Amino acid sequence: MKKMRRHFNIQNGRRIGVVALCFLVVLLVAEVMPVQSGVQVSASLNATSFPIDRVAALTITVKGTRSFEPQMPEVDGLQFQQRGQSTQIEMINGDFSASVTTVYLVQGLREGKFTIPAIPISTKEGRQLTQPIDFEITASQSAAVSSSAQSPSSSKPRLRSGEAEQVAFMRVTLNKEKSYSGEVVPVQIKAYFREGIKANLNTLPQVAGEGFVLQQLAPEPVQTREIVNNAAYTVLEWDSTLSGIKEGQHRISLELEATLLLPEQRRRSLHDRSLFDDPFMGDSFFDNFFGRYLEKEVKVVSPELDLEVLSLPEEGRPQEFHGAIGEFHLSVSGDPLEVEPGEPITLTMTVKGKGNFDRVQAPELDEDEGWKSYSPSSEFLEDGGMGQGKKVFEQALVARDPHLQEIPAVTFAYFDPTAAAYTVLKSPPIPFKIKGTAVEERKLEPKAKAEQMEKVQPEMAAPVDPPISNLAPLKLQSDAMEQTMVPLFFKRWFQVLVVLFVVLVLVAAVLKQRAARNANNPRLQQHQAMKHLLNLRQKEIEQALAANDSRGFLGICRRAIQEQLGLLWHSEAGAITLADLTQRLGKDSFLITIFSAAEESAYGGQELNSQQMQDFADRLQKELEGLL
Amino acid sequence: MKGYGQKSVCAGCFLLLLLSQTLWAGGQERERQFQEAIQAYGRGEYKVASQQFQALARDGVSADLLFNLANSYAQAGESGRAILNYERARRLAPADSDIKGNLELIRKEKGLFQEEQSIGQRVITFFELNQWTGLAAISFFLFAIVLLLPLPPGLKRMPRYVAATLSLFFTAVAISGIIGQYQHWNDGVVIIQGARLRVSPFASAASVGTIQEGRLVRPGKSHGSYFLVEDETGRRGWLEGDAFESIVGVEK
Repeated sequence: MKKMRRHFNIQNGRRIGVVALCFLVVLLVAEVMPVQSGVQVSASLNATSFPIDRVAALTITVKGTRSFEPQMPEVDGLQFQQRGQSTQIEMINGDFSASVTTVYLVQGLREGKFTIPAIPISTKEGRQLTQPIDFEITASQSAAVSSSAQSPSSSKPRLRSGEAEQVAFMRVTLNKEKSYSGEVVPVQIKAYFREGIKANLNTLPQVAGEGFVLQQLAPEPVQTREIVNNAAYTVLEWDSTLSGIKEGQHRISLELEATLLLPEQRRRSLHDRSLFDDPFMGDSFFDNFFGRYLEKEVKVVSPELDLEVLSLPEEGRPQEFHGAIGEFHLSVSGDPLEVEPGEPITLTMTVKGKGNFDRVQAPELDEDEGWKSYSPSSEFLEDGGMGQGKKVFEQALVARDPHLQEIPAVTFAYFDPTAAAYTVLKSPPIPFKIKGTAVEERKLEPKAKAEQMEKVQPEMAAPVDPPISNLAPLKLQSDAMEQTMVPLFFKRWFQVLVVLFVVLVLVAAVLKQRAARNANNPRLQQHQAMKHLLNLRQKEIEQALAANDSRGFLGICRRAIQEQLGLLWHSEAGAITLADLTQRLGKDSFLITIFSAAEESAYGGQELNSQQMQDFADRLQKELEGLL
Repeated sequence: MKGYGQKSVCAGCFLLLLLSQTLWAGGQERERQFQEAIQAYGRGEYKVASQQFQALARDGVSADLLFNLANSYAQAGESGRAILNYERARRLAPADSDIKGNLELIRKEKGLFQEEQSIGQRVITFFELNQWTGLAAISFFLFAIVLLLPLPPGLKRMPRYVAATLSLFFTAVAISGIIGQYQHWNDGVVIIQGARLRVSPFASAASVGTIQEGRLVRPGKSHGSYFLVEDETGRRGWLEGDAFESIVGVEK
C-alpha cells in the first residue's frame, strides 16, 4: 500500500527565518522611528483549568509602547513568577507599531477557583488595566488520571492512562456497545499530537484486527486545538462509521502510523524539564530556530473498546429485505403521469434516513405484469452527518398494457436496530394515464377481465385473458393443405421453375451472343443471305413447276442466278447480264444455259416442257448450292 | 397375355377409383370438422373450437386453418398460442391483411410492443420471406428480359440500361430481404405465462427476468431442455424448451 505521507505542521505556522530577519531589521529601525500613538493592553492565561502540580502561562501584552511596568496583584493561593519580556515592532502599510509582551508563570498553592484581577499597566502614555481572568486549579495529575477513570463523562479533557507521557495518542468514541451485523455505528476518531511537534501521517487510522469495516476516512481531517491537562495538542478528527461483520463479542482498537519530528533540545535541569511541559516554553523561539529535529516513526494505538455484534433475527424477515439496517423513510413519485403509448415513465424512489446506505437497494415493484422496467440508477446524497442522507433511485418504466391505470406500489424493507424488528415500507400506487385510451373502456376493463377470469378459471389451470374484440372473423373455407412450412425457395416447383428460367436465360444469352458475333462477320452474313434467298426462290420454283408455268419458272431461275451471283460478286443483282456470266463463270457452266434459256423465253417466247423444267430446277439447285 | 393386361388395367382403375373415393370422403370429413369448429367458435366455445382446429392441423395446415386456430386461441385468452398461429399463417399467406391485422391487434392488446426498428430492419420486415423471394425472382426475370430481348427499332439503348439497373437493384434488395427474413424463419413464440429467462440452463439458475407470453424469441444453442434465446428487445437468456414453440414447427 502506498504510504501516505501528509504533513501537518503542528506549530502555528511561524516562519522562523522570515521573522528573525524582520526582527533584526526592525529592531534597528525602531530606535529612530516614532511609535504610533494609542496603547492597548491585554492579558491571557493559556489554560482555564490546570492541576495544582502544573503551571500556567500568563501573558500580558501591551501594544503601542516599547516598555511598561506591570504591577502584579497579590492573590491568595497564587504565585506569579516573571519569565521574561519581549518586544515586537511591526510595520503595516508604512506605519510602525510596537508591542511588549511579558510572561508570568502562575502556580497554584491550593485547589479551587481563582480570579486574576485587573492588572494595572503603567506606560509613558498613561495607566491602563487588563481584564480580570477566571480559572480553576484542579487536583494533581496523578489524581486526575484515576478520577477520569471513575467519571468518564467529565466534560473536561484529561489524559487517560498511558497518555500522560506520550506526545501523540488516539481516542475513539463509539456511541454503542452493541450493534447488529452490517449496522453502521458512528465513530469519532481523534489523534492528538503535542503542539510543537511536527508529524507526518503515514497511514490513516485503521481498525486493528478483523471483523470490522471502517468507512473510508476523509484524507483531510478536521484540525483543531485542544488543551489536555494543561498541554496544548493539535487534534486531527475524523467522523466515520464502523460496521461489524463478524458476530460475537469483540474488542477493537484503531491505530495509525506517523513520523514525528521531535525538536532536539538542550539539556535541561529538572526544573527546566517541568517548564518544557509548559506549552509556552515548549514553543521556545530559539529552540525552533536554532534547534534540530529528530525523526521518529511511531504507531499510535487507541485504547481497546468493547463492542458486541449481534446477528439479524431470522424471524419476521421480509422477502424484500436486502440488508438495509437503520431508520429509513420512503417516498415515490412518477413523471410524466400522462404518457403516449410506449413512452417511459421515470419512477423516482427516495430512501431517506440513517443507516448503512451501501446496502440500500432499489425498492421493488409489487407487480410488474404489463410493465417493462429498466435497471434503476442510484445516487447517494449525504445529509446530516455520517450514515445520514438519502439515496435516490430513478427507474424507467414502460407500460406494455395500454389498460394500465396506475403505477404499482413499491416496497422497501429494512431492519430497525432500535426496535430490533424488520420494517416494510410500501408506497401507494400512483395513478397515471395513457393517451389515446378511452377512460370508460379502461374503467370497465378490470371488471370484465375479472368476470372472464372467473368463468375460465375452472377449465384452465393458468389464468387467461379476456376475449379480444375487433378481430377479423374466421375464414369459412379452408384453402389447400400443406404438410410443412418451408420457404418458397425450398419448394420443388419453385426450384424447377427457377432452373428452367435460368436455362432459358442461358440459351437466350448464347443465341444473343451468337447473333452478335454473326452481325460482325460479313462473310457469314453473305452466306446466310444467299441461303435465305435461295430458299425463297426454290419455293417459287416449286410453285411454278406445279403450275407448269414455263415463263414464270425461267424468270425465277434467272432472278435466283442474279441474286446469288450479285451477293457473291458484291454487285447489283439486276445489272448482271449473260456476258458477265460468260466472262466470270466460263462457257461450260450450266448456269449460262439456264440464264440463256430464261432470256430467250423472256424475249423470244421460248417455253420448256415439264421434264425440261424439272431438269433445269435440279441442275439450278445443285449449281447454286455449289456457290454457297 | 392380352387378358392379363386388361385385368391389370382394370385393377389399377379400380384402385384409383377407390383411392379417389377415400380421398374425397376424407376431404368431406375434414370439411365437416372444419365447419363444426367454426360453429363452436360462433357459439363462443373458443376452447372447443381451438381443440377442433388443432385436431385438423395435425393432418396438414393451411393459412385459413391456422388463422381460425389463432382466432380461437386469442378469444380463449391464450395469446401466446394465438400469436404463434398467426405467425404461422402469415408464413403461408404473407399478403393476407386479416392475418396481419389480427396479429397487430393482439400484440397491441397484450402490450407486446416492439423496439424501435432501424431503417434496414423496416425494409426487411416490409415483406415476408416468400414475398421477397417472389420479388427477387420477378426482378431478376425482368433484368434478364430487358438485357436479352432484341432492342426494338428506333429505341435507344439508355432506357434499356436504366431498366436493367433498376431490375438488378430490386433483385439485390430482395435478396437482402430474403437473408434478413430467413434469419427469423425459425423464430419461436413464448406460449406460457410467467416464463423466466435464466442466466444458466438450469432450473436453479438465477433469473434474468420474466419473458412475456407471445414474445418472439430466436433460439440458439441448447443444453438439456434449455435453449439460449434472444427476444425482440435484445434480452438474452436460457429458456426452457416447453416455454416456447417454433413457428415453422421445427422439433426442439
